Amino acid sequence: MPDADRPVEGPSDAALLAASAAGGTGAFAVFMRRHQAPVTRYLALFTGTPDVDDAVQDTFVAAWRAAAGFRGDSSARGWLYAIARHAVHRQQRRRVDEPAQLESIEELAERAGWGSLPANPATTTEEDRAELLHRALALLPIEERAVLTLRELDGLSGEETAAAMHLSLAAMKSRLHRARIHLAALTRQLAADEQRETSRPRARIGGTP
Amino acid sequence: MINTALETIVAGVRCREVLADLSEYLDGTLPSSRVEALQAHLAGCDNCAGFGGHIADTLAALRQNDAPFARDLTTLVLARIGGGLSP
Repeated sequence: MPDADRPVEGPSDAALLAASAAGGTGAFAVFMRRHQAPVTRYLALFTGTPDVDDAVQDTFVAAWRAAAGFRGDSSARGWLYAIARHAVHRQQRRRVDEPAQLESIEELAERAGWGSLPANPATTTEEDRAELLHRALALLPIEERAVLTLRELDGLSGEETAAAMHLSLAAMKSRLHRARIHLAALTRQLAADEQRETSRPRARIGGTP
Repeated sequence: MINTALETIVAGVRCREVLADLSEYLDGTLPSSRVEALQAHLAGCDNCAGFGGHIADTLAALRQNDAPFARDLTTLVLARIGGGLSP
């Protein structure tokens, strides 16, 4: 397996997948090491659970089988995400977690603070903010979480994101817009809940009423 | 119940329209003719300028705080694909 020890900066994804399609497990190992971390993150955010080892393995096994079908005219990352999504959808087909009726963008924007943002936002630590954001991300509907993961965390282009999600560019943009504002709304709601929790008078027992 | 302030018109553009174009504006993919109108609105509208800044700031924080995921599964996958599977 001469390719196995090459640095990830080496062969292109298309070359690695072509070698994989010809049976090169070394090339596939290089390809997998290059992409495992982002695929894991994608699946964790997409499914809302950190326990995605099985899904990651299924994705790469499916990628190995489909390696000959990679055409190289799109990013390998987008191609892998489409495979990952397919694997997750097969598992989740019976789960329905979308709200019955979508809130309008205007309603979400109001929840996110349009027209009522304080001039001086409350200061929070980087860690607290990151924690709130990741909790909010996990609360988003699965399709909104997916589009944010691809665009904001993986930095895929609009076209690559649309392709990975099997959406038109316009539909992807619309979903991304909703997801961004929804994320801000949920983050604000979680911060407010937390604030209420910490400022609530401590419960007490005993003593004179 | 929608905030009627969203119907406010500043520099010939409604707040509601600014809200609809906000993502494309932040991504730099809004047509330049539209960008000009939006910027004129933002210059005179605290609600939209503040909200746009808030969304941009939220997204920047999300990008910066990308949690790492690790644990190399390559060996496990190679064992699976080496066990009789072929591409």
